[in-house]
Amino acid sequence: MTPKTRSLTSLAALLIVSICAIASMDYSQITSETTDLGGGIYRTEYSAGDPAEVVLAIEGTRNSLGQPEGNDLEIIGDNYRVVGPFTNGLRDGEFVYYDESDQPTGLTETYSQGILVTSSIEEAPPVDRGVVYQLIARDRPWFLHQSGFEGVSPEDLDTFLEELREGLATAKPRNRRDFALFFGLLLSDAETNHPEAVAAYQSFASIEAQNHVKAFPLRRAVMEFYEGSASGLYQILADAYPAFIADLQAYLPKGTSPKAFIDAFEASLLNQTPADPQDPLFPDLVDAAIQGATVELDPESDFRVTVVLPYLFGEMGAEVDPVYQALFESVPFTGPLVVVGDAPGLPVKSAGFDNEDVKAMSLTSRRSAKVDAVVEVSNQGNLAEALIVRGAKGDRFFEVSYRGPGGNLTGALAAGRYQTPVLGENVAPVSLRMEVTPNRRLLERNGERRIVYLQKRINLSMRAVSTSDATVSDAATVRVETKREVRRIPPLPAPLPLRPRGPGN
Amino acid sequence: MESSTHRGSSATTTWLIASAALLPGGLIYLVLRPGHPLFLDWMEPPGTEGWIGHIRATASPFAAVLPAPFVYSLPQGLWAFAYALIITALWGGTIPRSRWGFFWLGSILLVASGFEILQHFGAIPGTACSHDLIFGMIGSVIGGVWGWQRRIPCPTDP
Repeated sequence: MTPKTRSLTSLAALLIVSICAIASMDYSQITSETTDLGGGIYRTEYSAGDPAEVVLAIEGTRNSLGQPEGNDLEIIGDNYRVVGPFTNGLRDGEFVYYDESDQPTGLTETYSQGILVTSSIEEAPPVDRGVVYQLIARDRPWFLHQSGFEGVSPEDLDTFLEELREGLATAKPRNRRDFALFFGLLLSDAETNHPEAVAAYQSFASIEAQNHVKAFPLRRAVMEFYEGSASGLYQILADAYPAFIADLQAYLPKGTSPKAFIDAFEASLLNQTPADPQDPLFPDLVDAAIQGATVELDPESDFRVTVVLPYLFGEMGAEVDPVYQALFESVPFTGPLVVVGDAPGLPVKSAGFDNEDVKAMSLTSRRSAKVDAVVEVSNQGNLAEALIVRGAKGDRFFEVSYRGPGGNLTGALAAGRYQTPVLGENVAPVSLRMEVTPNRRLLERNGERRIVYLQKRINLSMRAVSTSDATVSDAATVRVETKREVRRIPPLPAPLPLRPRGPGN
Repeated sequence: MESSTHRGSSATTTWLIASAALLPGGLIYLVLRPGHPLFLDWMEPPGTEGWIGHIRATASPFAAVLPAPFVYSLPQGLWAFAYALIITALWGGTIPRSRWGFFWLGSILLVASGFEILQHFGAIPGTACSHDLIFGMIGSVIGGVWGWQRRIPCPTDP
């Protein structure tokens, strides 16, 4: 059998098997039936098989295209699971979970603008609670905040919160996924050991989350939980709902970076309109917005959010309106930023300091010519301080020198001793010029008729380090390369013939 | 000459075994499995509507008592077996000299698991199922071992 015959036969086999696999997919004849349940809610059942059986049930509102909005409940085996993505990226309306036998499980969720508002998780059958609780704890930990308002002894709560802190210190969640996993798992475990404390914590928990910006090489998110103080809560309650919104607006930064989280929160809050502060659901909407923003936050952003959920706090009394308060503040941090370019006034602001284009550049030296680059060092953080800058030294093929505000800074930069003036958010960056001169003696081969320029390259990095925290730094790289080139030397013109000198010359 | 006849006979037998494996897999889909596979549409040209439905209705009581893996996952194992058998028989003899041999042998695992992986990520319709994957792998291994024993020697073999 020739290789060609083998290949053709194999292709035929592959074709047959693929046809078998594709043909066996039972997607072509799934039927659906939609029932209007009233109140803008539709239930769509997807059936397959003969006799037909319901394989999927979706309940929810319809979007403008008439498509169902909601999370699919795929019934598999003894359980169900929520599958996505959602039809339009959002969820709206009330969703009812059904079990394998198509009976309601007792679990319903209400979403508004894609944000979970209420859920009947507490009403779910106890036997189902374990699975559902794990599911929710893993996928939607913020939801757990909304359940349970039982009283708790201060000792138990203190112990629980201490365990939270210790667990967090150990886990060190680095991003929102870590955070969600940690939070869900921790609450799940704590439910067994401190059921009352968990319930109380969920009713007035205070979350502080700190997330360091991308400019940090550390790039580590530190998130902490702590309880709000009674006096602080009382002060918060002294404000009415409109004041809360006004305060919130006041906390929004004006053109400061980074603000991804704030923007996300603001957008999610605005999406709640028309939100009526007198609406009993208003606090839940606010809470859902906060929690939604928390889980949707950009892990590269920098923020601190304190969410205080004070209602049913013992000393407030039951008559106090439930209200949540969100306080935003910037975390003091240093954000060293080093960017490179070929001219002063680098487009840091326009390109964004996380733009990779300004973190590295390449220069090509032709015929051993000197090349230069501009390095700008700034502090994008909100903590003003000086930065220590170290510049790469050259090698035997390349000589590197630096010039800056103080003249020739080569020695200080190469030794890592150069310290910038105090830099802050609104302080102009320090501009340094890096000059790289190829070593002609080593990179040129001179012959009688030609000069050969050799190819070499060097990577020169500049690193700026915070003076308060040596682990906070940033770097950019300039790569310099000489091109191999042969330059031919034209032959000298032939000497003119000597004329005999005659007498008298 | 005798050797050639033997090889031809062996290749034919291999094809027959593979086809025989595909047949019950198709029948399971056709008769026992709920849902409506695409090839039911192909097998019901105009004028013949209903006869397959009649067969399926008749067989449905049997389907109810059969274990679920038999109905849902065995077909996957059977066609994976058939593919592995053919490919290994065709290309096993070229190993290790032919790069194409490695390519085609590698395709066995890809084909056996690829559809499930694509379903898992929603790239193609259907529900990814670990049982299907396991049956597919088992079928591939059995088919591969059997195909290796029946591999057609490469012409350059001594």
